[in-house]
Amino acid sequence: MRICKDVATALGQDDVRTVPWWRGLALRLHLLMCPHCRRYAAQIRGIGTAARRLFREPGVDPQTLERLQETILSRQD
Amino acid sequence: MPEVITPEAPDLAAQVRAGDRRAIQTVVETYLAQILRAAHGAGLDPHQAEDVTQATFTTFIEVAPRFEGRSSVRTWLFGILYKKIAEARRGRRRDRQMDEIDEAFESRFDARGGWSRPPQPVDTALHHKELEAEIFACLDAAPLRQTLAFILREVEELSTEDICNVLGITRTNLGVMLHRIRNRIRDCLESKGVRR
Repeated sequence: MRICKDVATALGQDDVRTVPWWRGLALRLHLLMCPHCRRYAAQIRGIGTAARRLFREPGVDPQTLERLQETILSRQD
Repeated sequence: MPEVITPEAPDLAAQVRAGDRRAIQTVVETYLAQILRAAHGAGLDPHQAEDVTQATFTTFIEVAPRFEGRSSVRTWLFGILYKKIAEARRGRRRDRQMDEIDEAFESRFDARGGWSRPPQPVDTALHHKELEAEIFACLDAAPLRQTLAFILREVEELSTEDICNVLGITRTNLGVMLHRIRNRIRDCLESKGVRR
């Protein structure tokens, strides 16, 4: 995997998690040598991290959760 | 404090199927925030997100006796949520195709597959309203399955198999969807100049 386009596609598609080890190694070697793909990889990772932070922090309002929970569980009766 | 997603108790599915009230209460308590968060992330306003969340759990309680336990309770709940969000978004507007994202991605490379327009710096580290607004806008504008694929992978950290079950897609479809939505968000941030 020496072509930037293939590397960027693999990063975007999460193929890195599933490719055979030798392709994973080729991808890492490419990232070591290519600053553009390294930046792209960091941005894809960063977007995931930002999404986790934005959706999980500060978290859902406890009063909203409590109200919803009461409404939902009352429907069991 | 980062949230830790713990595995389900192995007998939870059986208890839910048996209509065990405590098990159902546990499910509601455990997954309410995740379901509400995903509904919000799928582009619903806070009021709609609450309605869809309530509808998801109401359906869950109604059909619990028929739960076959072939997936985890969590995966099953997200599957119900997906259908409820699709209903809520129906009529609001048609989910658009994302072919333009593929074209935009292709246009960044030369004929040999090297970068012709390399990625520009994008700041995803700062916790500011502009970044939040951009990510929400990108997720809202994307087709529902892509948005949910992204939320389930990145925020809820579901496995590939679980996401495919929830959305009714293949692994290959999931890869394409994740690639498109990530590039859409990246392009949005880059074009808006949210950078270091």
